[in-house]
Amino acid sequence: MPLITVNSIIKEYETAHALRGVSMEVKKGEWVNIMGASGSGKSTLLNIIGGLDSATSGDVIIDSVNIEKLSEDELAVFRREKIGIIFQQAHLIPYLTAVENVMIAQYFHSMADESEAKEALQRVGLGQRLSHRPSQLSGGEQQRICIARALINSPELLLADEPTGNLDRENTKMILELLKKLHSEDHFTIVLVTHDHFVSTHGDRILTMEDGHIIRDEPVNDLRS
Amino acid sequence: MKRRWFLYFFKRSLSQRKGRVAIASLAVVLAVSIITSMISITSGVREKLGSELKAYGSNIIVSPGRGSSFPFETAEAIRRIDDVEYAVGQVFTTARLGKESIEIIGLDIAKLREAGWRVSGEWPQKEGEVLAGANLKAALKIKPDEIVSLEGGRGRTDFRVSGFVERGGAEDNAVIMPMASAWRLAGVNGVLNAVLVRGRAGGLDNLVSEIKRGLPEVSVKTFRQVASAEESLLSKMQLLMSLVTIVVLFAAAISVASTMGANILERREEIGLMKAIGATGSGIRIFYLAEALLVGFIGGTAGFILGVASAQAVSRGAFGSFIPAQWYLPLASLIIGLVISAGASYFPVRDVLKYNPAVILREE
Amino acid sequence: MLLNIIGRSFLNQKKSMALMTASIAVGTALVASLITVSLDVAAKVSKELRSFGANILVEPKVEGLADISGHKRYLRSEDIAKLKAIFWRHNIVGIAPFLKSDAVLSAGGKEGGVTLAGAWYEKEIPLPGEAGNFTAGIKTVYSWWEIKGRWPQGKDEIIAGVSAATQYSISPGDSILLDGRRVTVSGTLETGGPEDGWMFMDLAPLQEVKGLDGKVSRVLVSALTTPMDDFAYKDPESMSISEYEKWYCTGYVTSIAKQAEEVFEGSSARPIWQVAATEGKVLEKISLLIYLLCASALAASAIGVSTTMIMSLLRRVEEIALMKALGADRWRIITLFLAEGILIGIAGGLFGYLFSIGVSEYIGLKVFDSGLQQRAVLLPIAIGSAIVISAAGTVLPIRRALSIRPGIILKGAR
Ligand SMILES: Nc1ncnc2c1ncn2[C@@H]1O[C@H](COP(=O)(O)OP(=O)(O)OP(=O)(O)O)[C@@H](O)[C@H]1O
Ligand SMILES: [Mg+2]
Repeated sequence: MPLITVNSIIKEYETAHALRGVSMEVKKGEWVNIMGASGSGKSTLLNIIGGLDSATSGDVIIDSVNIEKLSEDELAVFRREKIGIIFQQAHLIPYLTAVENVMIAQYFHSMADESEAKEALQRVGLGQRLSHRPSQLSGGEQQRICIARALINSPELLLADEPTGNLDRENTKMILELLKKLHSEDHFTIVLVTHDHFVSTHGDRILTMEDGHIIRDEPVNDLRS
Repeated sequence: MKRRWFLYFFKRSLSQRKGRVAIASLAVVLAVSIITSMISITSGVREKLGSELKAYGSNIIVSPGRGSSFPFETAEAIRRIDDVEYAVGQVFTTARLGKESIEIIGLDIAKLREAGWRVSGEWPQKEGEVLAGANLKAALKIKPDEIVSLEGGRGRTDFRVSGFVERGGAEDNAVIMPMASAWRLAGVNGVLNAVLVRGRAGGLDNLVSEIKRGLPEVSVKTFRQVASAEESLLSKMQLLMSLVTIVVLFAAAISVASTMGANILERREEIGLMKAIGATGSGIRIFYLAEALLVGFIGGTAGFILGVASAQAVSRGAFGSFIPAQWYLPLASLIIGLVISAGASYFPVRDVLKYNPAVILREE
Repeated sequence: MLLNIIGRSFLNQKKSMALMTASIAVGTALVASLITVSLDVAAKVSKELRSFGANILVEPKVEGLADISGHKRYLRSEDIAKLKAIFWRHNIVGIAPFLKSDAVLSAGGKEGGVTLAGAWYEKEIPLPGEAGNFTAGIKTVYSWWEIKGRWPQGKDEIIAGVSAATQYSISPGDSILLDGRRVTVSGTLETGGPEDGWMFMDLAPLQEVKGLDGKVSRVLVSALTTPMDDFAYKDPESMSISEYEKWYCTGYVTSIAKQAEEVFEGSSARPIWQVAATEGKVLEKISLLIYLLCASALAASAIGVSTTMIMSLLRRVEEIALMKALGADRWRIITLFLAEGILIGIAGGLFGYLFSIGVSEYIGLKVFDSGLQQRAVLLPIAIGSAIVISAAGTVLPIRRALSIRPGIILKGAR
């Protein structure tokens, strides 16, 4: 039984077709990378899987629940219990410090725990920036807060939209190590959108998108060889 | 525990956004203060304007039912009834001046002064000084301080005319003198021929029946001209003020709504993000409602104080006196502050929550 | 280009622009309708007060003591119409002549003397020197008179004051003898005043019966007046020529009385002070009250609009910073946002003015049963002040945005 089953999803905007019938499956504990040209529909797909957006038609079944059919409140519970998400842009609450931005996710999930939040920031290399506000941090640092926030509630499924887009090779490696560790030890399921071929060498599978379709689905190993 | 963290984030949000909270509060303070002051003035306008109408004079006339006079104490008894603003006794008699008979009105001269009568010449100060009506002045061709000699039931008495009154009524043909002088002239003592009563506008019918109950012997009449004039004017004014209050209420509510709405518009991203990381709709609503309630509380309290102060300033400006406080006003102000502030942020938040978080987050 | 950007910006910020425009429109509507009300309230209330009775009494001049007791002195009824030819003719809203006479009443087996007054109830008389008529009579002066039964029709019907009616056990519909002539009582009147003891009949037949053709004993006049002020209370006799002219040409109750006196031969006209004095005071209070309210509403709505503008623009600080980062100079940014503010001001002011017409009209109809005078002058004033207020509301946020280095804002500082 796959963790994620996406069934012929179509997403139409008034002016554009973002997804034109996408189907895919992700097994529990799998790490899937999505690649493709800009505008091909990667973020849209990720948002729909995360319950942040709804499809025009089609089903998204996660853990045998069709999330397209959930009510608003059930969706909120679904998001906080199952999903950790890293956005393409760093969305942070401007008046909260780094730690607080992580803690607020804990708060919505269950209980805010400052030491745990600090630890999470230390893991992404922000141990020295705990009480800075987003405007006082670099783009990469902001992105790392988002990663810490996404991981803090130990979600079953981590959705990441270009998590390393703003990072240098050193920090990218650090994040990838972190993800690898979560993947192998805690059996996180990861769906990661990236343009970076170095990043896509990690994980199990690569989906390639073009113009709202998945045009290729291949294992990582094949590519490497 | 959950609550502690709620408060924690709530406080952070307030303390980091002081400027905006202050602006929102300012909007609510102004809205509440103008509504409060309108309510306060509207509820006081009847009474205030009513007392301005005092100059219209008495609106109830009490006269002897049988015989032609009643004891002096009758006026006293009427004065004790609630809703009686004043009750003045009058003595009517006639006296001969030369060959002609003229009307004499005896009353408490000081009361005329209070009622705003104007005299040309001087008010009577001493014993034996009287006022004469304008027609008498023309008829006798006399000047202030001349002596007139009146012949009543007890023989002839000389009076000094200290001034003249012009009222456009029966007074213009009469000599007006202190009650004691009139009694002496007529040869009676301690009697009245009429009591002119001014009852608070609005409750005249009740007052009439109350006087009748207390004094079954007398005849009580409402002076329709004054009574209907006052009643209609006062109710018009009150209606006017009420309508203006409603308009002001509406305008103030819109003004708060747009300020708070702009505030929420600014925080769309924040709301979308909270939703994206798993906050429920009600959790988010409560978070912003809490802020709105706080703003409403500040606005309601400060608005009450400012509103009462401005109502009093307006009342002092227009009527020269303060408006009595209404017990419900603090409560009403607070509720208005809370309701418009909460309503003004509830709806925009609900509006943002309608969208998928992805849509909101993409906007930025 | 600037217009293009503004247009885009409007479309882009639909909600926020709508909020600002709505806020300004409502603020303007509030103030404009309050101004309309306050400018007209004195006139309306003054009309309202006029229905409460005459404020000028015209009687034959008193020459000697004998004139006071008897009522054998008369004015000429042909002079009545001349009241509508004086300088303040348009202010004269009611005229009621009375002819007082004594009569012998016999009804219900009783007989006695009563005061019989001849009057016009409601009579059209031609305007002097002009086409058209005007209405005179009791109904124009004592609109509050309530007749139990109905008003008389024809010369054989009369009204009886309640005291007289009670004394002689008369009720509406009864037939009685007045001076031996049979008449029908169509209704009874209760005023609480001396009229309660009188009988009223049509003026002309009474004049005929009494042989007093063209004669009336008093005329009550109801005139719209300017409230008395200190100047008005000065004795006209002691005024200089220019003062006298000013007094004569101001609609004080005293100067209108003076002009009425000049119209009636051998008359003396006096204000009925009980009515006249109160009126001025009440009008003054009401106008003052509304002005003060107007001022406080003005202040409140100006600040209310500013808070909305500030709040709305604060969220665009980022946009300003971006423009600055892209190389826009201060003036270009200021012009852009000011121009936006002005556009919003124009739209808000226009809507607000239109809205205020509805609001004040409704208030006028509801309270005074007639619409208020709408003043077109208010339109430019409304739009002008809306522009000033909305432009003022943009100053603070723009200053704030300009004073901050764009880098910090673009990174999300608020
Ligand atoms: N709200 C919207 N209205 C109309 N079209 C939209 C909207 N959001 C996205 N699109 C379009 O949908 C398509 C897919 O967008 P999406 O963000 O998924 O692209 P992407 O693959 O993530 O691109 P990138 O790599 O640049 O982030 C794009 O062509 C985009 O223009
Ligand atoms: Mg994308």
